[in-house]
Amino acid sequence: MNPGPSPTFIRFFEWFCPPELQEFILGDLEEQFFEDQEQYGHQKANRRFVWNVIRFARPGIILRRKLNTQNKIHTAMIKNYLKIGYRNLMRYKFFSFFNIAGLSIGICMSLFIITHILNELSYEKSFPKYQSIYRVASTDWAKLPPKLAPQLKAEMPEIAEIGRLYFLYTKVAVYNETETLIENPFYADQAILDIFDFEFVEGSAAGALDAHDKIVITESMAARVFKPGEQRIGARISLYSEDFLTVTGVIKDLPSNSHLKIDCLASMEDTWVAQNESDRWSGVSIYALIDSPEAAQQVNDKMLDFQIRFQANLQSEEDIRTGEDFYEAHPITDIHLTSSREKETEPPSDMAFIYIFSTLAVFILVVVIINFVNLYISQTLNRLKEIGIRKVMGAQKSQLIGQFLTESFILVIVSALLAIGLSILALPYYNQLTDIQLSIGELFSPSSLLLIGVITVMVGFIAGGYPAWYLSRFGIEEGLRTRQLKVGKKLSLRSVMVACQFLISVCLFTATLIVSKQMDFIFNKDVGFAEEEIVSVRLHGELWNQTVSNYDKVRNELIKHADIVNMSVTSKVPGERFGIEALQMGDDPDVIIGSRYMRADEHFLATMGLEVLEGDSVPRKSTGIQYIVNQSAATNLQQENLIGKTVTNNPGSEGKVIAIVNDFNFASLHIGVEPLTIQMPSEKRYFADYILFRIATQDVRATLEKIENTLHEFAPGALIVSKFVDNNMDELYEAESSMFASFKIFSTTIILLACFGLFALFAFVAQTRKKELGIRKTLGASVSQLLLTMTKSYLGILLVAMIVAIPITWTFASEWMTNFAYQVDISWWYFVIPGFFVLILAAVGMVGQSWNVAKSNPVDSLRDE
Amino acid sequence: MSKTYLGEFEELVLTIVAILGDEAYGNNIVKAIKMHQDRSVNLSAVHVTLYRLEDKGFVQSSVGGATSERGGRRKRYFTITTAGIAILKGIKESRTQLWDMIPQLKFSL
Repeated sequence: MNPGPSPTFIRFFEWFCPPELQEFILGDLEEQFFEDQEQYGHQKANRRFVWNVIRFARPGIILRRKLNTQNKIHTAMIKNYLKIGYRNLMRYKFFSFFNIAGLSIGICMSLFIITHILNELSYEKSFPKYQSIYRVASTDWAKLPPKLAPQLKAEMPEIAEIGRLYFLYTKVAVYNETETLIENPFYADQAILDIFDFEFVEGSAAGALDAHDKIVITESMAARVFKPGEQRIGARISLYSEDFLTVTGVIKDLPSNSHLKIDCLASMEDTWVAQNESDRWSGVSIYALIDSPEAAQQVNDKMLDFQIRFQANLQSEEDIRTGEDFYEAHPITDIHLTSSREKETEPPSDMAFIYIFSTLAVFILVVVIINFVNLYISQTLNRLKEIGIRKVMGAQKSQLIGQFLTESFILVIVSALLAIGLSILALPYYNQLTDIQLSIGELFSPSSLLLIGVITVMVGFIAGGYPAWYLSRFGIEEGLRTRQLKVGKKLSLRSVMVACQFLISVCLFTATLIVSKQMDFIFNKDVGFAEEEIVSVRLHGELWNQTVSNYDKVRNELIKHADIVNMSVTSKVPGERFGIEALQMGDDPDVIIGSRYMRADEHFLATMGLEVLEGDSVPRKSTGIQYIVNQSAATNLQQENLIGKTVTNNPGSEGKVIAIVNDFNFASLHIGVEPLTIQMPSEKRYFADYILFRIATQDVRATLEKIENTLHEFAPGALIVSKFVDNNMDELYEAESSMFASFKIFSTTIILLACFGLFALFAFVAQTRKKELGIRKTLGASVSQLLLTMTKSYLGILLVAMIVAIPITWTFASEWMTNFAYQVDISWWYFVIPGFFVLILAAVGMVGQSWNVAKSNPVDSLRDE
Repeated sequence: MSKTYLGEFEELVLTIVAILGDEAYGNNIVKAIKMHQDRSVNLSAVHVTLYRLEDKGFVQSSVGGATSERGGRRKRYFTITTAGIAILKGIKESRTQLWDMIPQLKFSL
């Protein structure tokens, strides 16, 4: 027989031509071709054929499909689709339930994550002028000397406003002789009110802080200090013992998405500024209003010269230039996510948070979408007969596609609605878990709603579109002949999806394992002192007064209790930031090191349970100043026989080193132990901020009560704020632990969803291959052989995924661990165990699902036609 | 019927369909046009026109039996409907009417 026309162009024709026209046109074309062939020969006939085909690619032919579809979708058909969709939903209850539940959990979780991330990114953006607000700080240190602000303003015309904030280390506000605990009191310049535009509920910003002894408080503080209905403006509150401040304004609480956490702003006293004129003491935050980024750039260009002039007394020009610490004005929006400066008012978050959680959100969506698509496809593969019959009855490809899309969109829309409901219910728990305040409004901001919309449409199209496209391609006979489709060819796409899910599960499992090991390690590491037994009590007002003036009496009364092992008055509590000061050898002024400092009395060593490496383990009371250094400080000083030598902090504070103690972790384990000097002045008045109690831990509540009662004997009515030091230390890891808490929940859910997805898939596969297994069994295969047949193709994929997971998690883990100076050892099995665990889980699922089928009597599966 | 307008080519194809009776399908129509009018038309144009005529209700189609010469594919035969004949008649009559109104021609004959 003569060769036919070009098959390529036949395919091309079939591609663009609506199917209902194809047969007749192609027939005509071919007929023409064979006539031409006889007349002109094959070559020319084929050329004419090709030309004719091309001529058919015209709107009248191609667009006919659209016109037809429009004509043929009737409401009756849509009703039918909905009915069939509903029946299928009910017929495969488990799968439908799983599909909807999985997808809605996934959408809900990614909604939380996205909202959380948006919240992190929205920091400071609620201040009206946020784009023009800059903070002046040095590259290492968030705070600067107070006198820098006026000087900078005088020299830089680009700065429109400049203001200072100083965090007050007082914790109590007194009004009408009632004490109220406050967390975040500040001194502030009047300019601060203009820069941040705080919203005044009572009073007004004008002149609210322009003279001394004025105070602006937030609504929530006002609610705690005043009784309802009390006159607030003009009331007199005291933050320190004697000085009273007049309330000039009540402002709205600051938004939670700001690095500023403020309870009240007291006017910054000129006398206070004068006392702190030192250019060494960097203690205030400085905010400036600069109109444009270009102006800010100009400020920064001039900043080095300014710094050289400003620090002329401290450092030589060369030291500054070659140093690493430069003044700069940076946008406040950078503070929350990118600042790693010392002395930030709030422990800042981390860009890593954004990355990790964005990844999690993507993972969740990938897993649930794969689950959904996989299950939906598997389900529809069993409906080949239905599709065949629909075709016989005259359904067109577009109608079938419409049907599948309708069905998958029903599922997806139901899931999205459920997700919205679920999010509203789960919001309080999520807020509690992560310690942030997301509102329902934020949760359903336009961008999150858009996200839900996009997910819905995307999943709907993938899940519905794929089977629609795949199944509607088959001819009528094929659809009717085979009851189910062979899975063999479909394995490739499915394998990729399964591998993807498995990879994600293993990665997350390993990451969770490593992160939790590290967190355990951090929380349980021996910090070198008895952190669990030490309670701190903040001193203020009368309590402070009594403690410093009647210390011996107070101490004797307290120490009488058997439960109170020891006590010591200190300037700091471990876990707080200790300031860096100089430590100089008395006999050799050239030997000077920087060291963290705290002040304490002679009972400190015993109270803390520190190990004395050298020198006097039981320091005695002395009339002069005494020094204790830790091992790092001693090493840095490089002195032989340090004990007994004279050291000094600044002129007039000379004293002898009486002991060297172990390097205990007085700060977070993110960093190693730095040199520490414990100065023991004879006069407590100058440093007493806390009493540390070492207590017996049997009956903590009773002991705390005893402490409180005894202290009240001296200072009746005083507010006693006590806190365990280990809690204080744990707060250093707050960022990590809250992140980890949500990380754990998210990754567990992802792993579970992925596993369920695999289970459900295997169940379907086992069902689909029921007949094949029946035949194999009839031909003599054993149950174990059948199980192997069922599982071996997946086991291979899983193994590959497991191996790929190792380098990925390794990179992640080692990157994350660099945040900590103290790291738990990551042993090799952390990478292997999760893989095997998930593998075994998957295998159990597969075998479980296949088992029923493999065990069943082949007659049952073969008979059913 | 004034609303429905037939193009020149449509009229031609419709007429040919009427002429061919039971034998009108794509290729035959092309051949008939070539034969009677000595005009080469493209198959695709004929098909598109046939579908348009079918949409307008002037022809109807039926599927014939498979023949081996076309790779087993069936033919789609078109037959003219009463509406089709009516419009052809209408066209013819209106042409004749117009024709009769041309004075010179009438006398020169």
